[in-house]
Amino acid sequence: MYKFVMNLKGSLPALILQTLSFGSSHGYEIASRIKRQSEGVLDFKEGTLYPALHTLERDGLVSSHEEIENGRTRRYYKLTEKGTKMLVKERAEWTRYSNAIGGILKGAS
Amino acid sequence: MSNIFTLEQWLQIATKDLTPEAVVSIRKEITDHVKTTLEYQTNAGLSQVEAEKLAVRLLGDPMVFLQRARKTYLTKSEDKRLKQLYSPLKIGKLYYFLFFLYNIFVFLNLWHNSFPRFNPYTFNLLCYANLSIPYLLSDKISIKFRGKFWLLYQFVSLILTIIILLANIIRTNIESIRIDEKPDYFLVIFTLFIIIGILSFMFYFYYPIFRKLFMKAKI
Repeated sequence: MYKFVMNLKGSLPALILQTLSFGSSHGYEIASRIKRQSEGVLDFKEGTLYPALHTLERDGLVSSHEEIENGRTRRYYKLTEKGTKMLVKERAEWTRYSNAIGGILKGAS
Repeated sequence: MSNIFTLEQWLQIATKDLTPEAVVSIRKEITDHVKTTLEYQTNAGLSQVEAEKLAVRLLGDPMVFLQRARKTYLTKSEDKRLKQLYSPLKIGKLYYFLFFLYNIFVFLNLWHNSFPRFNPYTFNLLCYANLSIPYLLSDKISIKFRGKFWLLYQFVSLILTIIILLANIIRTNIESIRIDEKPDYFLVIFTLFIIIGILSFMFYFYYPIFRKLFMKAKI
């Protein structure tokens, strides 16, 4: 029997942007929020979060700053204006895509 | 697979071949991430050893991380290639040597012939080249700035090459036969200029590769 595997890799940037729309956050918190909000369905390897975060930062979609917390330097990420616009686009794109898939799976024409 | 690694082993595999700057940045964040996981897991009742194993396992396969990291961060070899582009190494040295020869012959031409006969475009390029070289050679100027400057430099060189070529074609048509007792280094200057022009043009073949590297270097 086939087992369908959801590919999270392509959706991870959008999920990060959505998570950051609630406010600035550090890597661990972003990973935890995604897992918690998806009720464990989107269980990804936490290490992969950082290359994705840094790519978003390079593209100007998120910005980062360091804060000292309990004597530890921690990097916080926040959504930029460009990132907010991208998130709106991504949401619309995802809704269109999921409606199309949903329509097919429900057997609607 | 990854639960057999300690954090240090995981980091060594995950950052292999990346530039020291990328390694420092990744190490800092991943270590902080693992420390936070450890805190949560030990508070939840796991032992320190178990929590550490879990924290590293949750990071995933370090080879997969490295695969993705290579697309995001500069590798050592890419960094070397970028430095070759921005610094006078190999082809760059040849480029500046040709410019050096070019300068000598342009000045010889200027010495033996009067200003009005001298091609003003060639003189402009000479000034431009001499003014810009210190910027490209200086290590004190950031790689980002040198990168942008280099792109502009190549573009202007190419445009000036075309202008001078056209100007010289027009001049040759006007003065098709010219008898001059004074030495004229026009042919040497022209040949050197063509070679420099070709080198500038060659740059555009590699531009897509360098652009990709330049984007990665922004991190």
